[in-house]
Amino acid sequence: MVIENLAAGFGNVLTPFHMLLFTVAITLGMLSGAIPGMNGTMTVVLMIPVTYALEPAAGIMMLAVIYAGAVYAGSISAILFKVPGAPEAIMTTLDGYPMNQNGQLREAISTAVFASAFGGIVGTIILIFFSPALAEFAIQLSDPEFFAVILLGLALVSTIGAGNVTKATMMMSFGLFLGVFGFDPLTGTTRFTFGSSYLASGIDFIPVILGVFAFSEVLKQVQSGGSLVGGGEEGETNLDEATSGSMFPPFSYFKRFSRILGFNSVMGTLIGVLPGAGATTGALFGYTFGQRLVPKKIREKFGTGVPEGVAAPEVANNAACSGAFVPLLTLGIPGSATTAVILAAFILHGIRPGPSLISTQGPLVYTIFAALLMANVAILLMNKPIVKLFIQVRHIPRELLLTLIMVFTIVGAFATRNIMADVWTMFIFGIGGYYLEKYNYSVAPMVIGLVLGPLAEPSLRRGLTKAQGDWMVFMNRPISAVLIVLAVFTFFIPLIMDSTQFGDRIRDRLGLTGVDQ
Amino acid sequence: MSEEEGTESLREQTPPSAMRDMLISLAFIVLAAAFLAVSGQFADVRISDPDPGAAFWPRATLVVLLIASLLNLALLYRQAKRDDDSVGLGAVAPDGLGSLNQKQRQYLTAIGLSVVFFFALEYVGFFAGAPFFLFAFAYAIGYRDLGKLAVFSIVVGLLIFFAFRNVMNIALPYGQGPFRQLSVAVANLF
Repeated sequence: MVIENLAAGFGNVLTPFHMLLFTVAITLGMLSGAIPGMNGTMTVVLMIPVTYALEPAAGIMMLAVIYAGAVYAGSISAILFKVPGAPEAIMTTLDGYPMNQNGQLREAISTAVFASAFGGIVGTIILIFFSPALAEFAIQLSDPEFFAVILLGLALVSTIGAGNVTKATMMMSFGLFLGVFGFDPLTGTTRFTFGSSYLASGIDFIPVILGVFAFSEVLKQVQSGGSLVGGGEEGETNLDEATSGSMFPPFSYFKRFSRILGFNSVMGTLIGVLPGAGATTGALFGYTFGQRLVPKKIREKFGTGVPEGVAAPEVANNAACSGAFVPLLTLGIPGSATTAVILAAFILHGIRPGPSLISTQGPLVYTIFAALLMANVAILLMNKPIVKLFIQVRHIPRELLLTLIMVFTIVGAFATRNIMADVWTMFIFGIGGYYLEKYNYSVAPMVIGLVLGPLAEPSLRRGLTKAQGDWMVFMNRPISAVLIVLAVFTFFIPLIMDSTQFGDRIRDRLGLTGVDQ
Repeated sequence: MSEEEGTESLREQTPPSAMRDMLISLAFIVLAAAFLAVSGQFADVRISDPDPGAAFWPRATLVVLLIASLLNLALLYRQAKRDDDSVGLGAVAPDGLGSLNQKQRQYLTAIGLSVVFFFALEYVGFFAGAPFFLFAFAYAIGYRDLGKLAVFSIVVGLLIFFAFRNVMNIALPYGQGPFRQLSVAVANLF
C-alpha cells in the first residue's frame, strides 16, 4: 500500500511541470542555504505567495524541497569560508573549515554531500514508513522529556573545544546566558534590557554566529596573512581517482562512516520529530554523537579537520529535516521553524494536517515524500559538479575573497531582522570571538548554548509549574529520567575515561582503541 | 625570510599569555556577578507559585558561568605557577602598538574600515557605500590591481544590492536624504 502510494507520488512529481518546479525549488533552496543571511525558512516564507497560484500538492512539494536543499547547502559556505550559510551548518564549520585549510576542500565537500544525502534519504524513509508510530511517540513527550533532551545536549557540549571542559562549560553557560535577554518566555517581563528596545527582542543567534565564525575568521586571516581556502591538493588525488567516472562519492564512505551513518541518521530523525527542535539541534547532537562513535584517535582530532566531523552533523541535520515533517503531517505540530511556515501554507490551502491527513490527502502527502526522496538523491547525484564548481573558489585572489566574505557577513547580519543593531552585535561578537579563540575558548559551545537555552527554559519552567513545583517530575517519568541520567554520565564519563587507566582498560575491552576506519 | 616575517612567525609561536587568559576569566566573573545582582529586579515575577520565576534560569546559567570561570582561573593560576612564569604570569606577548608590523596594521585598518562602514550605512546607505567599502577593504588588505578592484567593487556592490532587493525582497539600508532618494530610484529601476 505504502509502496503503491509512493509510486503514485513519484508519478506526480515526475510530470514536466512538477519537475520544473522541483528544479527551481532545489536551486532556490541551495542558493538560500549557501548565502549567509538567507536561510531555508526565509525562502519558504518568500515563496508562500507563489503557492497561491499552484495546486496544494505542487506548492507544498516546492516548499519541502526548498527546505531540504537549504539544509544541505548551508554546509558549503561553512566549509569554504567558515560562514555557516544556515544555522544547521554551525557544527560543520568545526571540521569542514579546518579540512579546507588543510588542503582537503574537495574531500570535505564530497563528505558533506554524501552525508547530507544519506541522512536525508534515511530520514525520509523513516518518515514514510513510521510516521504514525513516531507521532504517537512524540505526543507522549512532554516538557520534562524535552528539557531532559536539551540537558543531554548541553552535557554533550562539554566535549567540544580542545578538550578543555572548564572553558567549554564557561562558554556554554555564557551562551545560555545570552539567550535570556529580552522577554521572559512565560511571564513576558523584560530581563536585562536596560531600557533598550533592541535588547527587548533578545539577542538573535544569526549575527552572533556570523560574528564568531565569519567576521573573526576574516580578522584572523588578515592578521596572519593566511588564506580562507587551503591550496594543497595533498590527499585529494585518491579521492579524485575514486570518484572519476562516477557521479557518486566514493563507496568507501559507507564503510568509513558506517557507525555515524547508521546512528546519526536514526537519532537525527528522532530529534527532528521533537517539536521545536529542528535541524539545527539535530546537527548539534549529531556532532557530539559522532565524537563518541569514532575511535579515540579520531575523536581526539575532532575540531582539527577530520571527515567524520563533517559527516556526523550533516547526516543528523538532514535526517532531522525529514523528521521535522512527522509531527507536522501527523499531528499538525511543526517540528521546526521552517515546518511551521509550511504548516501555514497547508492552512492557506484549506488543509489542516493531523492524524487523518495521510488517509484523506494521500496523494498530496506521498507527493511530498517522493519529492523529499528525490531532492536527496538529486543532492547525491550532483556531488561531482558541486565539488567541481566550488573548487573554483581557489582561483579568486585571497584579498577579494576576504572582502567578499566580510561584505556578506555584514549583509547577512543585517538581513536577518533588517536592523543595524544586529550588525553591531555581529561586530562585537566577531572581535570577542577572535580573542576568545586566540586563548583557546571554543566559541561553538557558546553558540550551542544560545540555540538550546531558549528551548530549555520554557520546558523546565512549564514542567515544574505543571508538577506544582515538584522537581521529581524529571525523574518520575521514565524517558526523562533515563535522559537525565545519561546527561550526568555523558558529562562525567569522558573526564574519567580520558584521564584514568581504568578508562583505557574499558576502551580496550570494548574494542574502541585503535580501530582503523 | 624577511626580518618582519621572521618576527611575525616568532610572534605566532609565542604561547598566549596566561595573564591575559586569566583576565578573560576575571571578566566573565565580573560579568556573572554583576548580572546576578541585576537579576534581583525581576526575581519575584512568576506566573504562579510553582513557577521558579523569571530570574531562575538566568541565575542558574550565571552561577554555572561563575563557578566554571573561578575554576578556570584557579587552573590557569596553578599552571602559570607550575610553568615558573616562563610564559605565564609575567609574560605579555610583544604586540604593543609601538611595534606594529604590516599584518597588524592591516588588521587594525580592517576593523577601522568596518566601523566606518557600519556608521556610514545609516547615512549613505548600502548602494552608495558598499562599492567604496569593498574597494577600501580589499586595498587595505593588500590587493593592488586598481582597475580590477574598481570593477569588482562596483559590480559586487550592485549585484548584492539588487539580488537582496529584487530577488530576496530584503531592502538593504537606503541611507538618508539624497542618498535615500538615489537608492530608492535605483531600486525602482528594476
